[in-house]
Amino acid sequence: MMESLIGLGQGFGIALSFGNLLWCLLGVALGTAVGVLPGLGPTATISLLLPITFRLDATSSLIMLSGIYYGAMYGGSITSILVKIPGEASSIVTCIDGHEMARRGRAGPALGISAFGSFIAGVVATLGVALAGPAVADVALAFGPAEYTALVVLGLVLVTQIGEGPRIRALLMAALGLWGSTVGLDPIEGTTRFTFGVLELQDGLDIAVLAMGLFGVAEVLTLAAAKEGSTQMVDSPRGLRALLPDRADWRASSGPIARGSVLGFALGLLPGGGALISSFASYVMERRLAKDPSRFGQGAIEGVAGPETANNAAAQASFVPLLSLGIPSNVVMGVMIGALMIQGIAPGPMLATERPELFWGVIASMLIGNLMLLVLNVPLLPVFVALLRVPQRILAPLILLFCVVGAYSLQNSAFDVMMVAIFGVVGFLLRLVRLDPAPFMLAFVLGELLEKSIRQSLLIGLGSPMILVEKPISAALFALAALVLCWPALRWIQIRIMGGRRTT
Amino acid sequence: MEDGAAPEVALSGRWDAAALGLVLLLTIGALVLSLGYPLWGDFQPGPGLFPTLAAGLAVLCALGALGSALLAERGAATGREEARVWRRLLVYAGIVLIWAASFATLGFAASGAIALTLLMRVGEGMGWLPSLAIAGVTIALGWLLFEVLLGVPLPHGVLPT
Repeated sequence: MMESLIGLGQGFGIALSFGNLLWCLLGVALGTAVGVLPGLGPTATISLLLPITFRLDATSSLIMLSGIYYGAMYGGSITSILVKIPGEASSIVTCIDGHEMARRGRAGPALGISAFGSFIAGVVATLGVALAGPAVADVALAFGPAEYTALVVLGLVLVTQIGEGPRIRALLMAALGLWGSTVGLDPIEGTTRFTFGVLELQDGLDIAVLAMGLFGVAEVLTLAAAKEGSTQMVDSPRGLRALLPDRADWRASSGPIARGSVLGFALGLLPGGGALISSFASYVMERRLAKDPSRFGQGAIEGVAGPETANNAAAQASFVPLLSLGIPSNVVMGVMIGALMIQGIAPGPMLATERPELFWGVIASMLIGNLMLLVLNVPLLPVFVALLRVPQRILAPLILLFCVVGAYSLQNSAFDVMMVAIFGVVGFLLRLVRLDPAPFMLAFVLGELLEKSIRQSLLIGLGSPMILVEKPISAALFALAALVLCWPALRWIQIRIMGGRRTT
Repeated sequence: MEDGAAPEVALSGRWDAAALGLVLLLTIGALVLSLGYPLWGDFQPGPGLFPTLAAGLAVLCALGALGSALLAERGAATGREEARVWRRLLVYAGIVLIWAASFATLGFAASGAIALTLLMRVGEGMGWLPSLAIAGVTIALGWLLFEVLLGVPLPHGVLPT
């Protein structure tokens, strides 16, 4: 513990140098901008900026690149709340209550609690990384294919608990999302599936294209179809007081922020969909804990505070497997390993002892970067909210323009533009039949990991599915999934028994 | 937006069931396609196993959703509202699809200008002049942001490079 505190102190000395402060500021500012713009995600931005880092020292380059990553995590929530376009997959859940809050003239508190929650989560998770990171990093090593299968199954069960409407429709959308994730090359044998001879589909459907179509374009179509003389996309508050979370908001959000920080940190340690699973696990947990769960989906601030906190904590925690074990927990971390290797550094268990200035400098910079995000974004709240005053007839074409060009910028391909348009129309049609696209998207993201894990497990178990429940972690996760799935039935039985006792 | 409520565009019971019937057919199609790949081979799962499981689950859920829709009595939108929804959807969706289809051929500026002008003129009922002005400014801003600042090589199409 003492050693970690000394290391953190040394890290602050490095991170607070003028040059590193500047790189950190550049990273978080770029990250926020990238998160706001649909299409251009942190992976593409970090890859584009890699050549710039050749001229920097390893610590400065990693400080800037990590700033882009957690800046994008926050930036993604801005568009989720304002225009219902998730900048990142982990911001999909924020669309549900965040955008509903914006509709009801509470965009400021939604953005504010997202900024403060992300800051608190960032601080908690960074301290967690510093104090317990190397020790808990081994948790990631305990996860094999069977454990991942169980984790993703739990995640999928949680997905079906999100959103309003009949559960059977959420389950239908999740199943379709799983099927959609199999389009393209099979992850084990490389067999081409469901591409119908279209070359562009070999890499599968792009998550950003799906998000822009199913959420962005579909939202514009929904508003156009439902419009009855309205001039604004959503209500927009005026006055600074209305823009910040009030005492009641803070009271409602303090629990979700605390729980989201811990949950996000724990799930962020796991390679794979940690940040994504943490955001909707937090949402489901808060809805279950709420006195009035019916408020969720109608603009409950807890539905923004919990998931936003959790995804930011997970983003910070994902640095633990990277720095302590050299394991990239997601694609962005994979690119960061590339950045380190370019500098001749191999991340792993020896990094903290061999290059303490890099290890602790990056960790300290995360604390500073989170403070920068808060200082940058809270004063900008009036600017973000002012966007809502732009009349719908002007904002709607702008959203379409961003979706079209954002899709094109992914691979400079007109095919992606066409897919965005098609998925936009599909997304609108799905809303007409009350089929929520959120479970589809979340299952789509988890689908590849689930397929790979199931198939690897069955390979290891020589075809026996018993391998999935033989290990204690996977058995516990499957049991938890079953409990979540059966919870409504258990509650019903409990109410019946209690009701029966009262009447007798 | 009235009281900030979410726009209600859900279909009435009859159309809801019909749409879910269509979804059921699509899931059956997905299942048939999935069964076209090997499910198992050489003591290991084949490429068809996971999609088959997913499509099978989707078929079951679609059946359940269709069943509950047929049993439920619901009337979210009247016939007139449905006609309005479909009319506006056709205008918007048609323009968006044409924009996407002509993006590479006509280029970013020409396809975008045409689509945005049509959206505002036909979809929003604005005059020709404001429609053209807003489309022009939007395209110019988009070009500045994406091509000049972010270096995205947008297609030029019919316009000279």
